[in-house]
Amino acid sequence: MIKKLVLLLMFGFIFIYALAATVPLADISLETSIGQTVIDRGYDDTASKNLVAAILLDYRLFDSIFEAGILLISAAGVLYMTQSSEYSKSVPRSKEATAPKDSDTILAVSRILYPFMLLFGFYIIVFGDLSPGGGFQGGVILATARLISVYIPEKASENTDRLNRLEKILFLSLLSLGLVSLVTQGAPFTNFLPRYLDPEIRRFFLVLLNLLIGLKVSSGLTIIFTRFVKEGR
Amino acid sequence: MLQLALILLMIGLGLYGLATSRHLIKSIIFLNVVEASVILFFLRLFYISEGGVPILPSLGAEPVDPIPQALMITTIVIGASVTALALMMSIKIYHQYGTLDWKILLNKEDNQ
Repeated sequence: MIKKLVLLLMFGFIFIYALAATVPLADISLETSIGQTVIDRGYDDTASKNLVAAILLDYRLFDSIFEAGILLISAAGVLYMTQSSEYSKSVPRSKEATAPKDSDTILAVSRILYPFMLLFGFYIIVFGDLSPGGGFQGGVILATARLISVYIPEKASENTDRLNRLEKILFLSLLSLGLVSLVTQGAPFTNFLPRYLDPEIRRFFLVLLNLLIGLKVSSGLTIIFTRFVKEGR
Repeated sequence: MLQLALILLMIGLGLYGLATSRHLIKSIIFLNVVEASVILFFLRLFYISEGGVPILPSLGAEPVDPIPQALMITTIVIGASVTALALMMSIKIYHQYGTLDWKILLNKEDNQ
């Protein structure tokens, strides 16, 4: 009881302190923020109409690549932890915890939904620099489409080791694609196409990057999903 | 202002839950609460009423600051990775020790 009281007092103090620190931030304005520069110059600099994608795929490409790397590490960790199929004795695995009985409705609907989800995922990825979306979001949709395919019995289960290898290759190609601009532009992690080209042509770099990120994220999340499903069964 | 205070309260609640919860899954849930309220905090801080989306052409409305949104995508992806890893670890811990209670787990750790 005393412990909880002390904790409450501590968090109350932190709360009031943080509130006092946030008061001057409340009327922060865009004019003094660096965001105004992005809004003014983003399209000319990066050829991306979606300014969030402009930051993610050009100004701060370095961060995005290693953010994708963190997902790779997480997927590899899940893969590593589920590698051994030996379980310790303390919890007996229920013998008939087999696959739940698939209802016909779910089967039929997932069969219909599967190609549309793939299409929607690729749409979100490819148009990431024109409309809301991008590699990360589209990759999650692709991965959920793969998850739905778990319900389709004819489909063979995913080979997660192969997927992990694919993800590593995609991550390395992302890194090397980011470094191409070191040769052509003299600065790493930016668009490798020269600035005098038409924005419609320079867009190619963004679409390529979005595709790579999307495939990488989808393979990483598919590894996590399938391993969780296997672990649960 | 009131909204910011409420969001800060949410962060505080999440931290309190992290410090007091005895169940591992509850700890993971509170971690997600903290993460979600941090995201809310950033987005609320740079919110402009009747601002447009930061996508050109912005159709007359003044677009909101795109930088916090780009930062928050990073937070969401990393949060998902951390949650997935933590959940898988908790499954493994349950298989190993048969419990997810922090106190029992710490006692077992001491006895070994």
